Amino acid sequence: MKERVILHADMNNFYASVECLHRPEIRNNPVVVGGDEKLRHGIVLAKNYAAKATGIRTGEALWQARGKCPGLVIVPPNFPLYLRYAKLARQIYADFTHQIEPFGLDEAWLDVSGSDGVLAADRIRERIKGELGVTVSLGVSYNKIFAKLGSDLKKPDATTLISRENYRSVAWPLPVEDLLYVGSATKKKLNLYGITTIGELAAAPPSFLRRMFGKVGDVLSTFANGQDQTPVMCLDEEALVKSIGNSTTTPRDLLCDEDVKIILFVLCESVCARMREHGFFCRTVAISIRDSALFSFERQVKLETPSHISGEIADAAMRLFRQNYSWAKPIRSIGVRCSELISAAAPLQLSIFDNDTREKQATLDKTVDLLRKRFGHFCIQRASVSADQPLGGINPKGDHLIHPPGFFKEGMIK
Amino acid sequence: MRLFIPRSLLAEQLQIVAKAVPSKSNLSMLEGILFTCDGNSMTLSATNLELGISSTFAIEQQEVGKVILPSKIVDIMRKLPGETVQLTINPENYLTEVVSGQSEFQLYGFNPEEYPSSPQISAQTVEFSFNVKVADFRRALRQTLFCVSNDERKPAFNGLLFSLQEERLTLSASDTFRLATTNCRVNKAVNAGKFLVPAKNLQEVLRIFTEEEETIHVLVSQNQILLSCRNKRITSRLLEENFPDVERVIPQEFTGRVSFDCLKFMQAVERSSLLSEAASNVVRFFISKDCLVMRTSSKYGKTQEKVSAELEGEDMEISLNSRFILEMLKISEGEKCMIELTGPNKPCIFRDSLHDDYLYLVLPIKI
Repeated sequence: MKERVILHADMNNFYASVECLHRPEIRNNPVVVGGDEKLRHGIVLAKNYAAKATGIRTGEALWQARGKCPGLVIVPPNFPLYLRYAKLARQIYADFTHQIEPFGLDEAWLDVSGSDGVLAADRIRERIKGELGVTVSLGVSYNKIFAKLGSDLKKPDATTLISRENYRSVAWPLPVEDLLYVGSATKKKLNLYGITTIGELAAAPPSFLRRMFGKVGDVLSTFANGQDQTPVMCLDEEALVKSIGNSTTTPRDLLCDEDVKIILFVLCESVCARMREHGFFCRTVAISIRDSALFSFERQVKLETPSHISGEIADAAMRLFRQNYSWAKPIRSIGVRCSELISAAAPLQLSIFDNDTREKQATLDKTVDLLRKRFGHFCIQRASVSADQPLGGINPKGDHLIHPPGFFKEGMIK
Repeated sequence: MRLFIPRSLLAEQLQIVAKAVPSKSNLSMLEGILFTCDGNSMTLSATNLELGISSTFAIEQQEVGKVILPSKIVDIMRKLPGETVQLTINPENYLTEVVSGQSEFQLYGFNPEEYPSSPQISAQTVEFSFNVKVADFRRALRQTLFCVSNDERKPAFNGLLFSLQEERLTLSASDTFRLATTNCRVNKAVNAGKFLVPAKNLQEVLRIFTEEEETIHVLVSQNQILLSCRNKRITSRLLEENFPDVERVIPQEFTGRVSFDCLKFMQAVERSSLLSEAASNVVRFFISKDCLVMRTSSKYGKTQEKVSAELEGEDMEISLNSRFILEMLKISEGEKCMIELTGPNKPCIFRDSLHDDYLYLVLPIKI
């Protein structure tokens, strides 16, 4: 088989770069993009190099960031804008290959087999910088994992080649946590056995890794040795969806069933609208609850009839909540997830008693979807939701557009 | 107290009541069977507080007494070697010796006074009462019970609805996707009205009341039903749920009526269902003037079956769950079967040529 040539493109400091591009006045200051502190979403989402230099890290609270860097400029996120830039970047990638697999908003793998990887990477860098005004780092390799490692190696605006010839000297000395799928827990475990670099991981016997991590052990061994074979998915192949969910940390703690009901309705409307958009029914509804002491748990229930009707899902979620929560503490965040998805076009056993009402509800939901598409999310709301503005004023479907997918699509780990 | 009883008689009687013994209960004496001997008859009783079964049988003159023995006695009695069995009960501590042939068992019995008294329905508390022929009642139960839902989330549909009106008892069962109703003649009916009985307790009626020529006496109070037939009694709690109005959903007008040979049709559906989608068991029916074509398809392949039929009315295409059809055809007694059609995504009604007032309504699958 011919050797693959795979690029991984990573837009440098994506959110912050786009913001700086659009606000020349702050370009030279330390800048972070941060969530709304009033709504308790106050963490650092992205930072520019000036902010990075002061030790600010993505994911820390904004008050911590301010402490590290007086004069820090905090700008609110503008997701639609980032989305536009991500699309523009993908259009440029599309001039090089049709095999593009986005990984979150700002990253993507490209399969450019047959052409010179480094040359293609340099051309992409030039065009992104010239046409979009932001920079991108690219990794060039013969598999997706090393390509991703490469794009992280030199920043900003750089190309790194990890080839079969040089991977032992380039990739293997890197700390093991740089590898995809080595998170903090895995890292800790590996370090315990003296494995601190990717090279050491590659040298570890696969049987030992399997004993420690199960299936993932094999995967890690493959990754570290550059033997990953997973293909670059085409842009139009939608990742196989297993479940659809939304969760939110609410603007204030939830104190009673009524509060929860509002949030569950908001979340269920969003989840159901997305199921309708993709043509799914779900058989199972799960809720996750995190209380003010950050203790969290999840519960799920099977539905009598597969559904994507907002009211039915919300009722099921509310019943589940009432059965499982006794209000020992207020609630900080809450989520709804629908799984066991089946196609809405699958045959449906009709029921004797409630067909008319269900059909009417389904039509109503469709109408609401249509209205919201034309006139915006808040053009129509449930009375119970609009009664409480801070809680009801959340639009999970619109606000949380970015869903980084897992590296593995369904069925890849066997 | 000392008793001598033919072993096989006792074993057989224990089998009858054993079904009502709960496998686990907070009240340990409920996990036993109450033996009551009043001289020349013996009564065995068991209850899980939802369902109670008791059986009385004649024995030769014996001492009078009572004891609760652990339900292990059921299996013990089946396996004992001798023709007769001797029970010796110590009234002080209820330790009971069971001797048969060369076998000896000692069982730790319980104080019979602690056993919950079986619910009594007196002249003051009775709301309905009637007599029904065992054969009639069994037929009506067979025609309806299979249709009850096992889904605990739909408690009303776990029950069989009894509607009593003059000399007629109507039984209705549904799992929300289909509905079966049938009638049986009753006599000496007192009062008219409706009540809901847990279906799984009525399965015991089919199991225990098998003498077709006999009559069942039924008494119903506000929350209990008592069915007695000769020496056997079954009591059951009633369900306090609202069963929806059945009459309302039965269509009165049809667009077509098709009739066919019941056995041939059943065999064709059975074959078709071999390749239907496992989850929904969809079989598509194409009904025209003189034949009925059924087709299924799944990832394994396709089927087509043709059955001759007579259709009055419009041609029709409809998809149904094959399990729903087969369950009904299996209990159908007539040679001919009839389907009344009301539209492609509308209910259809199966009828049995032998029982005019039997109705089995099935909702189709929307493709």
